[in-house]
Amino acid sequence: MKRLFFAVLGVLIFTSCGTEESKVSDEPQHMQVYYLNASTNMLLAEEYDMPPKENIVNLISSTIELMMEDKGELKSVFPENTKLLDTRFEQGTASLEFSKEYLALEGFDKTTAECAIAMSLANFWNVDSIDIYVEGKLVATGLSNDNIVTEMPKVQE
Amino acid sequence: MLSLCIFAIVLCLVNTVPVVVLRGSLCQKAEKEISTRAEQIAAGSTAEALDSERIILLDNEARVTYDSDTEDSMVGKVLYIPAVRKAHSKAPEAQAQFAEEIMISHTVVPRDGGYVYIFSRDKEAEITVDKLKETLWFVSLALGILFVFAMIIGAYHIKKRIKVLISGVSAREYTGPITVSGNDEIAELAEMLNKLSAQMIETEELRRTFVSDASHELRTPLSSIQLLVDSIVQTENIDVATTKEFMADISEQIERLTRIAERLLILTNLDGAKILALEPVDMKKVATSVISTLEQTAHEAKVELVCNFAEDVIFRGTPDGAYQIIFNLVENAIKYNRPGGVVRVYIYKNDDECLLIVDDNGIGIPEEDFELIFERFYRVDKARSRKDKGGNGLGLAIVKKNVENYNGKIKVEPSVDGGTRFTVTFPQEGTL
Repeated sequence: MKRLFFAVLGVLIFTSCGTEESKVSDEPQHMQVYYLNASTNMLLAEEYDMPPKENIVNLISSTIELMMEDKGELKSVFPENTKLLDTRFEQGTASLEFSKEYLALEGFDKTTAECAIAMSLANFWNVDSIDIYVEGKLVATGLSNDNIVTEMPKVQE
Repeated sequence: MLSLCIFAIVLCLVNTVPVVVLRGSLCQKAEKEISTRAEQIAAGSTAEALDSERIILLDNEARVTYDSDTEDSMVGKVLYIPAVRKAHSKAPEAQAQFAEEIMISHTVVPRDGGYVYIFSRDKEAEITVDKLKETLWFVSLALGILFVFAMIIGAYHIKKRIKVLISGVSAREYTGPITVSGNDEIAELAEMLNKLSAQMIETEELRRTFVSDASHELRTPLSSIQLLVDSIVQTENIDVATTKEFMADISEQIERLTRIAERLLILTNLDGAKILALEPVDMKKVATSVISTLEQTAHEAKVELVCNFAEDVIFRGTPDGAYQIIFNLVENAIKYNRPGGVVRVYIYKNDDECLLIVDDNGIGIPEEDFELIFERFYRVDKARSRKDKGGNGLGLAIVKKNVENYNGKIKVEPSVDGGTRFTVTFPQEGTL
């Protein structure tokens, strides 16, 4: 876990800056980052500690960068060689810009990736919605953890 | 107790297995039904939800485009559940289960441009299960009542049979074998008690015979003494020579009494000896001592003693016991012989046995008496033995008892010369 902490710190030093700076927490932030479970093809959370007093944009970028690498049995939801080109945060909306490899996602796999992003960034209370761009073009907008239903809908009694 | 446990297990199984099986079959039926219904909706025949049913249509990115539940509509949301993943992977799966007494079933199937999600609740299924449970409860109750009756009848039956046993055992006098029907432990116990009773009766019979024979044996010399003493007392002016003659006769009878008493004592000791301290005994040494004692008797009876004793014939026993065995056999062979007769005493060993053979060409023993001669006070010819030879019917009983105590065997057979041959064998002991 300590090694991961420093890895996240390293990523933060070299990531780009957003347009809005906002501090989050004084304590290390305990969070869940989502990956694909190879056996079920469904999402599974992995626990991380993020450094305290870090810029929200850096935190979002670090989270997405973590999601891009496989973690043992857990696979990244992103297609191979997908890169995070830019991260912005403005008025509760996080804008993520990916390289064109992201466009390989479609159907339920695309839904899986969007759910993973929305659920992972839901750790940050001030992120209300997420927009996704690919090389400048908006491909998904208004993603939010609140719009994801993970339990079987039932008949009201 | 065991039957109670078995009954409890049976009751548990009766109340659970049918319920589990029924629920399983209801779930299977529901899964088939909901799959068919979902296929119909996917084919576009209808999208109208029935009572207790919820239909949700999804686009190919699992976003809800239609929800039959308008109050809690999910339109616009993403339905990210494993069933959608399975439908996406072309392996749609229907699932039905009982949750909080209600059967629920759901499935997701692919349709043109997305998926159909359908959820259904079935209260009727649980009613069917409840009916079965009720029936099973009545069955259990009936079984319980039957079990209690069976236990009462069984207990009464067992009590009755045990009473027969008790009355058989507690009877003051033996009234014949106890009869208990059946083929169980109680019948076995009755049979064992009958065997025990038979043994006790036999033992008691032996004891009575022994006491009666012993009394008879003791009374005979006592009567003689009484007669002789009376003769002395009642004869007036009896001369010294006659008195001496009478006294010699009295002395002989006293000797006889002493011998009987000694032998009875020996037998009693042998009977009571639980664990004998056995030691290696050299047969030749003992036999030599016996022969030197009986040489004079043989000489007087004009009987020739032929001895052949091998060296190192050792068995586990006691020197006194070995002496009694050899002495009694040789003495009998001399006593019940004719003048000019021969008694052969052989001692030798084979691979693993020590053997003592006492063979005579005397008057012999009828073969029908071979089985009986080792019994106490048994004599082949009672009149002859008592009068002439001074026997008391205890010698061979002592021999047999000693042989048995040393794990040996004794055999009696007619001798080739018309007399009798006794063969005694013992397991061989290595060295002294």
